[in-house]
Amino acid sequence: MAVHRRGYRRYDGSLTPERWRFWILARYAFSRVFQSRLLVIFYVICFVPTVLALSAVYLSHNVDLLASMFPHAQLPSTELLPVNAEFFLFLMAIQATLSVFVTALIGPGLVSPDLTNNALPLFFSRPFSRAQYVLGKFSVLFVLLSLITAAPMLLIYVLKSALAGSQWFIDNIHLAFASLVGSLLWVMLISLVSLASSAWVRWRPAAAGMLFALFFIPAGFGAAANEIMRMTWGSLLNGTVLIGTVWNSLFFINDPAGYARAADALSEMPDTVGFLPAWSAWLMVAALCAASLLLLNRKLRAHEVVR
Amino acid sequence: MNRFSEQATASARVPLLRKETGNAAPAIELDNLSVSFNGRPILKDLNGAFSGRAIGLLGPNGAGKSTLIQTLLGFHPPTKGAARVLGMDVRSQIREIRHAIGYMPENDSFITGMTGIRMVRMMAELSGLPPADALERAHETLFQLGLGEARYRNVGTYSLGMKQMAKLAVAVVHGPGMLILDEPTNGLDADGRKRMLEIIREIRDSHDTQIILCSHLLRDVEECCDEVMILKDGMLVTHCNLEAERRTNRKFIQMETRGDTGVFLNRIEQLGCELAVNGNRRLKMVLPEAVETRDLYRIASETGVQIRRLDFKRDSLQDIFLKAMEESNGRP
Amino acid sequence: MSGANASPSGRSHQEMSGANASPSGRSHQEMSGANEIVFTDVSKFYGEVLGVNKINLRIGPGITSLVGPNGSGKTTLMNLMTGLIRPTRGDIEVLGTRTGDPETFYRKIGYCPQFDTFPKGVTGFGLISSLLRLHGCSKRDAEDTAGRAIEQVHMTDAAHRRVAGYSKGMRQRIKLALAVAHQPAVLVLDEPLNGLDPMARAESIALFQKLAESGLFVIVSSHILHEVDIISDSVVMMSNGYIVAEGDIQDVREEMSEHPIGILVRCDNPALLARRAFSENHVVEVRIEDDGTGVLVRTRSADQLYMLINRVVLEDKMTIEGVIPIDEDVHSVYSYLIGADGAVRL
Repeated sequence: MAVHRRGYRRYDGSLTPERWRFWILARYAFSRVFQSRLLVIFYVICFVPTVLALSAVYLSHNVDLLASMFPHAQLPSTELLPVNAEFFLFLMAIQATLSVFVTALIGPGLVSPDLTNNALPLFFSRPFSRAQYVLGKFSVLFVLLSLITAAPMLLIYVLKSALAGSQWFIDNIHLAFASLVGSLLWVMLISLVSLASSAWVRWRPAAAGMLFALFFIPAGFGAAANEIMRMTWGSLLNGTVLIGTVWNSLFFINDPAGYARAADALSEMPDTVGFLPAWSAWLMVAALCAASLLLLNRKLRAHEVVR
Repeated sequence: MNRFSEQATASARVPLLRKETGNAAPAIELDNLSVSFNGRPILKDLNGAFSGRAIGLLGPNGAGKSTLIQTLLGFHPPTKGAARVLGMDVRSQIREIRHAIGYMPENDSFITGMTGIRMVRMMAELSGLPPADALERAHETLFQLGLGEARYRNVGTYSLGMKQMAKLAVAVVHGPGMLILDEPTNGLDADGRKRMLEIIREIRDSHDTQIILCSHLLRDVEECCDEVMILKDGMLVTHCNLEAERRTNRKFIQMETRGDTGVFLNRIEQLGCELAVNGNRRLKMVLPEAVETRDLYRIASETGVQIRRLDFKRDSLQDIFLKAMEESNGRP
Repeated sequence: MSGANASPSGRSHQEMSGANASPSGRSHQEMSGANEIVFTDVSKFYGEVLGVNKINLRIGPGITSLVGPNGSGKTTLMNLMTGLIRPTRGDIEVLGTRTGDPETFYRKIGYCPQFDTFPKGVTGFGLISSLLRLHGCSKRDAEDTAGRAIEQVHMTDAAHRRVAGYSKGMRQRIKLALAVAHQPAVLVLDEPLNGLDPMARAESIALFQKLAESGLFVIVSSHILHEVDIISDSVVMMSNGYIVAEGDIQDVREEMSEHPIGILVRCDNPALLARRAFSENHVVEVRIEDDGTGVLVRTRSADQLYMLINRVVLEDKMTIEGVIPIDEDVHSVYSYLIGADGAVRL
């Protein structure tokens, strides 16, 4: 018989490689995020428009199927539902709006609680840098949001190509590229802004509200500024116009006429005035991302700075 | 994909300085260390090598204790000079240092929305432990610290004492070579404090981990530490070895009596003892060379006084601290 | 120390409720309350939750320490004493005044609570002088008195800075100044040494002792039992809303006669002392320490053991290194009466 003595032992096993450690934060955050039933339900709902779109694409290729469903309708023989830039833009707009809600549900819970409860020294007294911390939290939002914005676009593209043939695939590759890049840009923008605002505001409900506030209030100011100063730069503060302009420039790179049409459509939306040059929109998006990163850099410290 | 293959991680192995090298590096070495914030000097020219098993860090508020801890953890770089922790330089080897250090911050510090075991696990993984090892060690640590069933509850629901234990668990789970504990008994009730100090002594005696204990309670430091550094106004005013101090306090006596002590005290003073009466029947005295405790008993029985307690003085740290504060007042 | 405290006044609580005669020979009802704080059958419930239950307590001048685990009712007791809350049942009288008479009551009491919030934008000096104006002092008087109170706590340099910028120790001292500024007769302090560095602790303790000597009632709650031991004239021990023991700590210990008293004797010949101890009837247990430097004796009568030790020292020429009652201090009594889980053992 032996009495087992357990003391405080050092650890002398192997260590995990440092560059993947940010993913640890993401793993734990995922499991916590999916504990909320409200979120899971809402997340599933976010896929509904995609499912509808996929069905529409499928049905438009199988007109006979459609005819059998609606025997009395007169159906044109040409393509019922063209899968073109407008189609993608429409779907992206819907998914982007839904993604704002998802971000408001997830984002604040990522950073605010750590700041409120002074958990940062626990993180940064370990071989874990602030960049890895931000990357870890960011990747939670990035993965979850990409699944509801970029992934649906790819799925539609693949389905359409399967139905319409490899020539269509090659001819319309720019659509895939534009929708992918556009979605990811949007995801990156709202993820960074959400992280920064939850680091700034610290109180979780306020951080959620902040995201919505950031969406609507500057737009109002921008519209007012446009009116007063008779310009269009105020629209830079309008999230819809901003990202819409960026997407337009992606989709209509080689199609000035199409671009003009889309820009007109955008400028005719309620509360927007006039027309933004594409370069200004890109610059603004870059500036917002940079500002978010700077704010995160200031707010995420391991210790309080002595006054 | 086996990420944890030997080749990949061999270089990531934490240098176990105590076991690999025959000559253990001192816990902390300070080399003309100066730290300033926004031009304001906080730490001024600190020098010394500290290698006790448990080192107490004392000083009045504003002396720079937190700044020193922050510098050792790499939260703030030194403005001038150098500091080494377990032989590793704070400027160039901060990642290795953080592998080998555990930190228990003073303020309330925890992660919401997680159970105790999850939080400790995650922290262990962030220190580089593979997930399976992290889970094992997390449970082991929580068991050693006495957080039983509570580990499956949300940390936000813990009482203050349990939160302190959870903080300590986070600091030790990855088996660090050095622990920095900032006011570990803060807010604990009497039993909680006793348990915390017991655990600190256990960790100290396991011979594997050195401890830096920062506290305002001199008793805590006296019970756990063998070496003490005292800061004031950013300067190191005292660095002494408590063991050595205790051995030299042979002739200071504390006594409690019962009965009318008037004549008793007179007779003792006649023997040449210096006396101080401290209300509540407590006496402090310094015995001259020739006098023994037996003489005190003899006088007590002759004057009808009952000696209820007799002890050699044990609050040497209080004297050391007060002396350090007074001395440094005269400095520029 | 005043005469009333010189005689054994320690009571463990079972005996209190039955006793009619207090040690000085007067019956309960006849004792005047003019120089005491008296709780009579006080209970406080927050809805269903227990604050304190059936408290009967008399507190005299001097330093009284309130001791007990978190949640034992100390803060409730202090809030009741300072009139911040009303008891669900029972009566509280402070120096003859009831809490129903706020004009007189609040002049007599100063409270230094645990909470750390202050009105925004105010300086230390401003805070204290405004409080004094509330008590009816003229502007001049208020400022002078505030200055003196601030000096008592050594905060004169920082008095005109905003409280929001103070460190924890400074806030603690300002709270103390706030509590003593209007020169109350009763000072109630909830963990006043929390966050103070060793020097500030010693200074505050010296201040309490000075105030107590001038006749104030100083009631302090603390978790640091060795400090309680040093400064208190009497101790009130609470657990789970009940008072478990109160009075002078040595007398409380003597009353716990069913629990033998342990005394550790460090000497050069422990075996000899052990032999002599065993031959005494009052000795219950003798244990020689692991390192051979001393012997732990448990006895039913401490007095007789001390006499034995004296005899052995003189007759057998034993050299004593130390005689230490191991459970006569607050912590031992606390551990014995209130177990680690807060359960009361009586």
